[in-house]
Amino acid sequence: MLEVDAVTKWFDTPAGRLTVLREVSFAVPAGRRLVVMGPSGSGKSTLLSIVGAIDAPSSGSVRLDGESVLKGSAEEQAIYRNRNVGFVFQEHRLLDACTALDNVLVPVLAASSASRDDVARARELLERVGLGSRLGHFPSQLSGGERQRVAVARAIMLRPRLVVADEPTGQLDAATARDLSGILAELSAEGQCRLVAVTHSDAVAGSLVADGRGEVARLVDGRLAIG
Amino acid sequence: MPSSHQRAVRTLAGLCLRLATGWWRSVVPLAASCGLLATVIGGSVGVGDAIVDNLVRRAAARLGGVLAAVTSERPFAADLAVRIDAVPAFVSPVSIEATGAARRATRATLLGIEDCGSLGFPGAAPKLDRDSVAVNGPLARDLGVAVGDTVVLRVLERSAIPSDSPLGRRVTGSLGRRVKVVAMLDDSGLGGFSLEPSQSDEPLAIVSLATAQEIVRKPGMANTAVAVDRPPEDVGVRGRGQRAERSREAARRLDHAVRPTLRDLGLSLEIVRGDLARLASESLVVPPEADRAAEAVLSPLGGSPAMLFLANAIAVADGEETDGAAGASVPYSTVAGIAAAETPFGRLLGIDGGPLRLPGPGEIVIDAWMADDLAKQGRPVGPGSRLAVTFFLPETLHGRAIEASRTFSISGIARMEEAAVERSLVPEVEGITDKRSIDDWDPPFPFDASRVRSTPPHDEDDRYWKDHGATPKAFVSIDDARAIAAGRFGRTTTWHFRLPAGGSIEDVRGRLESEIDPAAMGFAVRPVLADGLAAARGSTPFAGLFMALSSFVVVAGLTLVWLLSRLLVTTRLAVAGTLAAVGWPPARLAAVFGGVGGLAAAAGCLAGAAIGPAWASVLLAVLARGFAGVENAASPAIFQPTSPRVATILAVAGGSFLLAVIAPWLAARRVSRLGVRQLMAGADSAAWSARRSGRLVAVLSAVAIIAALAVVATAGPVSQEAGRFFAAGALALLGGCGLVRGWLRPGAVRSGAGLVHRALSLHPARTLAVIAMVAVAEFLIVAVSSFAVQPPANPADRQGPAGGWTLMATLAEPCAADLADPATLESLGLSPDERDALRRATLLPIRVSRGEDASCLNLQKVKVPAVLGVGRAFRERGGFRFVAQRASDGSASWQLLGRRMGGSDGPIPAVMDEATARYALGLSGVGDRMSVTDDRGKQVELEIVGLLAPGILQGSVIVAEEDFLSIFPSTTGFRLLLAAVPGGPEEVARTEAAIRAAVADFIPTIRSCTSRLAALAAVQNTYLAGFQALGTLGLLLGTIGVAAVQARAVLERAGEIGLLTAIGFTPSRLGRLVASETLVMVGLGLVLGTLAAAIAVWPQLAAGRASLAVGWALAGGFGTIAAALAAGGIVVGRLASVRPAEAIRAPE
Repeated sequence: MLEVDAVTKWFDTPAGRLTVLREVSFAVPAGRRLVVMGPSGSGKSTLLSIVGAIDAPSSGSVRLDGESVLKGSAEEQAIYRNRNVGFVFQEHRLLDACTALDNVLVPVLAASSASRDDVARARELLERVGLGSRLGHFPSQLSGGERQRVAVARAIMLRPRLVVADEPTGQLDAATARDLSGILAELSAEGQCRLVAVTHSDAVAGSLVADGRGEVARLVDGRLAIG
Repeated sequence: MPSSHQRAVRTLAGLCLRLATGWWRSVVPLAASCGLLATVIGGSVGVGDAIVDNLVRRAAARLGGVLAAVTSERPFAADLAVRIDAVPAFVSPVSIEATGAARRATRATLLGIEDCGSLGFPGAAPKLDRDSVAVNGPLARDLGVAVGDTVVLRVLERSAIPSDSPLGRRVTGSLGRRVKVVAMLDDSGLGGFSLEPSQSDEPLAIVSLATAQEIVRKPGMANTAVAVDRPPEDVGVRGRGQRAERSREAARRLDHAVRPTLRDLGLSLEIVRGDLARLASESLVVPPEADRAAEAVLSPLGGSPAMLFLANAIAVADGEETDGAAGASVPYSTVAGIAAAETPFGRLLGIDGGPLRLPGPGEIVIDAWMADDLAKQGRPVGPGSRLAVTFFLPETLHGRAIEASRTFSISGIARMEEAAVERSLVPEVEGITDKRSIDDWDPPFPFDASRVRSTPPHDEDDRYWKDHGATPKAFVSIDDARAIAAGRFGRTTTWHFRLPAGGSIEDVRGRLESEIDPAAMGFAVRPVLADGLAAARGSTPFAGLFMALSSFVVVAGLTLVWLLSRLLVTTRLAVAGTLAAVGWPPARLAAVFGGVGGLAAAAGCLAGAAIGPAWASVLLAVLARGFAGVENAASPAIFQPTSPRVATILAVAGGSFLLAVIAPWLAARRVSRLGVRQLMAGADSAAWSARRSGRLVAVLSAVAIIAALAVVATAGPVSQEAGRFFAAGALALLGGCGLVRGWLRPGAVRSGAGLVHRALSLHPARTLAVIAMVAVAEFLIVAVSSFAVQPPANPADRQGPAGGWTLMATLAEPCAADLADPATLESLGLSPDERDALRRATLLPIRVSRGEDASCLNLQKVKVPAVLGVGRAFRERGGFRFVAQRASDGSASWQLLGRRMGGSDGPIPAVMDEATARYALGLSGVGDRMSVTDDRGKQVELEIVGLLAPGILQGSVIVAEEDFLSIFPSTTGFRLLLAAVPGGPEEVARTEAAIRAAVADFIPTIRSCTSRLAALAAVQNTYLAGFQALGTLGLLLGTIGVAAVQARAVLERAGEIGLLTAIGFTPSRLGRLVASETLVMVGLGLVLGTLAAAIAVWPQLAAGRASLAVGWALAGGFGTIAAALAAGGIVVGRLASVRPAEAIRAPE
C-alpha cells in the first residue's frame, strides 16, 4: 500500500509563503492506479516528486508498504528510489549518448554492473513495448512515442513497487498517447506495482483506469479530491 | 544501425565511455586542453632528458675505452704507464699553424699516442709516423686544412724551475715541428677525444708518441697514462652505469699501483762520492712533499737539509746596511743555509783547522776565499765584521725579481776544505751551473755583468767559478736561509746523507719513492669516465628550469581544464537530474561525470605526453639555435632531440593526468551535491558559485597585492630571488583576479557597455578564468622578456659588465712575463709598434687555477670551479658592479678581498658573479661559504663577500692573489690577461695583435670583452626565448578559453540573442557586443598580466638589471587580441545563423 497522509508543501518566496499542496491524502493498494488531473500550477508535479521521494513534504507523510519514503540521507533516498520507484517524465529524459537498450539499463547501473539477465530483461521489455528492432538506436533516431516507450521500459526495468508518471503522454498525439497509456497500464500491473500518474488528458486518464483497477483524482488549489 | 551499438553498456566504465563518445563536442576540447598540459610538462621533461642523454652519451663517446687516467704536470717515464698496465700518452695544449697562404693559427689539444687504436675507439685508427698528424673536424675547419697539407705544431718550452721564482724563466720560447696532415678523424669517434668533460667540439691533433716526445724534447717520457677497456658496441643506460663503476675501480687500481720514480717526480738521488749521497730537485727547490718524505727517510740516516740562495752581492757593511755596490763586495755568490755544524759532507773548519760552530741567527761564516778577496779590496774582515747580503725575494712580482738585503755578522772564516768546498750543495741550474765561465751566464733574473770580475788581472770571480763553480762562499743557519729564500715552492734545496753500512742508494730510493705521495707531487688519478658521466648527469637542471617557468602555463592550462570541465557538467545537469531521479546515488553520479572527465583527461594526457617530445624538439631547436656559434658553448649536438622513452611518456601522462583530473573530479563532486529537482531543472551554474562576500574578496585581493609589493620590497639572499619573483608574481596575479572578481557583479543595464558587463557578470567564474589565463600568459611573456640581456651601452664603463676592460686573453699555458716591463717587452722580440701598443694599454695579469668554467656557457655540473687570483692593482683599480656585498666595515667592494674575517684561520673572502653563485654553485649569497681543494688536497673554506652583476668574469670564483697563492702554491704565472685599450677599433686591433705576439708561446685565445658578453647574453637570451615560447603557448590556451567561453555563451544565450534580434538588434550590433565582451576579457587579462609582471620584476628594474619589455607586452597583447577576435568572429558567425523565432523558443 502507498499511503499519502496529510501532505502539505509550501515554498518561501520573496512575495511570501506559497502553499502548493494542502493536506493531501490518498492510498494506492498494490496493483492499483491513481490518475491525478488538474490545471497547470495545481501542484501535480510537486505531488509526484514527493510521492517519488525526490522532494520532501513540508508536513505529512508518505509510506510505501508501511515504510516511510522520506527518511534517510540523499544516498539512502537514491537507493530507495532505485529499488522501489520507476519514473516516466513528460520529456523522455533519455541519455542522448546511449542507445535504447543502454537507457533501459541505466537504473541497473546505479547500483552495480548489468548482468546477462539484466540485459535479457531490458531486451524483453523493449520488445514488449514494440522496440525489439530498435535496441541500438539512439534517442535522436526514435520518434517521440518510441522515446517514451523506452522511458516506460526504463521505469519498469527494476520491477519497482511504484511507478510515477508525470504527463507521460504530454507531447504525444492522441493515438500514440492511448497506445503508450495501454503499455504503461499493462506493465505496471505486473508484480502488483502501484502507478501514480498525472495527466491533462481525459482520454489517457480513462485508458489508465478502464480496467477498473484505478481511480481518477483531481487536484485543485492544492487539495485533492478523489472520484 | 551499426551492430556494435546493440551491444549493451553493462558497466559504469562502459557508460562513461559511451557518454564520452556521445558528448565529444565537450570532451574533445577538454581532452585537448589536458593534452596541452601534458605537452608542456612532457616538453620540459623531454628537454632535460635529451640534454642529459646527449651529455652522457658524449661523455662516454669522447673517451672511447678510457676508464681512468693518471696525469702529471711534469712529464714522467713512459715506462711508468706500462708498469701500471696503462697506455702512455702526451696531452698538451698546442698552437697549430697552417702553412698555406692563409697561415691561420689556432689552439688545440695535442695528443701523442703510440697506437691510436689502443684507446678503444670504434673504427679504424690512423697510422701515424713521425712526420704526420691526424686532425679532427673542428681543427680542420679552424685551420682550413685537408689531408696532404702541412701544419706547424708549437708547444711551450717549459722550465723546470717555477717561473714565479727569480731563477725560473718567464720567457722560454716554444718548440715546434712541421708535420703533414695524413688523416681526418671521425668527430664522433677518436676525433672527439678529450679527458676533460668538454661539452663543445674542441680542436684535436694526434701525433705519434715519439713525435710528441720529440716536440717537447722529452724522449721516453709521457705526461698521461690511461687505463683502457674496450667498451661493447652499444652501451645502454645500464651499461654506462656499470662502466662508471669500472671507471672508479680502474682509478682505484691506478691510484694503488702508480709509484713514480724519483726521476718521474723531478728529483735526483745520486752518490756524490764514496758513501755521500744527495737528493736534489730539477726545480731547484725540493717540493714540500718530497722534503717531508726526505725528513722522514733521510733524517734517521743522519741526513741534513740545506737551503741555498743566490746573493747578488755580499758587501762589507760599515756599521750600517749598504746596498753593497759602493764598497768592497763580492758579486753573485751562493750562500748555503745549513742545519748542523757537522754535516754529511763535512765540517766548516776555521783557518786554524778547528771546527767552526753553526752560525747563529744573524751570523754568517764566509770562506777564506771571500775573506781574502775582501781584504784585497782593502776591507779585511774577521769575526764580528758585518756584511750586507743582497738577494732576490723568493717570488717575483708579476715576473719582476724584487731585490732585498740583510746584514749578517761574521762568526767565522772557513778554510777551503770539507764543507766549504762542497760543490754538490748547489743543484744544477740551467744557464748558470752548466756554464764554463761566469761570462757565459744566461740567467733569467736581472744580471749586471759589469759587476763580475772576469777580465785579468781582475778576474777573481771567473777564477773562483772555474775552480769551485757555484760552490757557496758563505754559510748561514738554515733558518736564516729559509727566512730569505723559502717560499711556496719549498724550503730546501738539497739533502745530503751518508749511506749506512751495507745499505745501497737503491734502498734509499725505494724508501723515498714509497714515502712520497704522488698526488701531492702533481700526479692526479681520475676516474675520467665516471667523472664525465657524473658531470653530464648533474648538468643544469633543464627539466626543473623549464618546469618552473612552465608552472604558469600549467596553471593557465589547469584553469582551462577547469573551465571546460565545468562547461561539460553544467550543460548536462538535466542528465544528472534524470540519473539522480532513477536512483543514482550521489557518489555514483559523481563517478559517472568524473569518469567522463577522467577519460577525456586520460586520453588528452596520453596524447599530450606523446606529443611532448615534439614540443621538446621545438624548445631544443630554440636552444641549439641560441648556442650555435657561441664560442666555448655547448655543441649543437647537445641539443639534438633523443628518442623519447616510453617510461617517461607514461610518467608524464600519469603526472599530467593526476593534475588534470582534479578539475573534472571537482565538477562531478559538485554536481553530486545538488538536489534532484535542481538538477532536473538544469540548475543555472550561478547556483554553483559559492556566495563569497564581496567585501571579503576585496580585502583578500588587497592583501595579496600588498603582500606582492612587500615581497619585492624585501631584500633577501640572491638564491631566493627566483622564489621572490614567483611569489610576487603569483600574489599580484591573485590580487588582480580578486579585484576583477569584485567587478563582475551584475548591475543595471543602461547601455551597450552595460550589456557587456552584464554578460560577463552572468558567469563570473568562467569570465575570470579566461582573464586569468590571458593574464598568466602575458605575465610570463612580459616578465621573462624583461630579463633579456642587452649589450652594454658603453663597454668602456668601469661599472659596466666589462669592468672597463677591452680585451681578455686566456692562455693555455701559464705565463709569468711582465708585459708592463720594458725589458721583458724587449726580450719578447716585439716590434716597436707592438711594444708601443702594449705600453699604451693597461694590462693586468690574473692567476687562474685549474678548474671548470661555471658560467652559463657550461651545461655540465661544475665540480671544481676555476678560481681567479686578482692582484692589488686590479683591486685598487676596481670596476664592475656589485649587486651585494658584505657591509661590515664599509670597505670598498674589491678591498674586501684579502681581508679574512676571524684572522688567518678564517674563511678566505671571495667574490663572484651572482649567476655563478646562484645557478652553478647553488650558493645563497653574501656570507655563504663554499670550499675548494688546495694543492695539498685539503679543503679550504671561502666566504662570499660580494656578488657581481653579470659580466665578463662570470664562471669563476675571485679571491685576492695572496690568498690564491696560499691555496694553490704550486701554480705559477697567470693564465688570464685583461687589457684596457684607450682608443678606437684600430687601436684595439693593434693591441690585440701585440698581445698575441707577446704571449704567442703560451697559446692564447684573445677575444674582445664585448664578444664575451655577447656570448653570455646569447645563451641567457636563448633560455628566455624558450620561456617566451612557453608564454606563447599560454596565450594559445587563453585564446582557446575565450573561444570556448564565447561559443558556450551563444548556446546559453540563444534565447536572449533571439529576443534582441527580434526587437531590432542588427547582427552587426550583436557582433560588436560579443566582440566587446572578448576585448574586455582579453584586455583585462593583458593589463593584469603586465602589471603583475612589472611588480614581480620590480627589484631587477630598480637595479637596472631588467627593463620592462614594452614591445613584448604590446606584441603579446595584440597577438592575443587578434586571436581572440578571430575566435569571436566564429562566434559572431554562429550568431548570424540563429533565427529569432528558434532562439526565443530555445529551452535554455
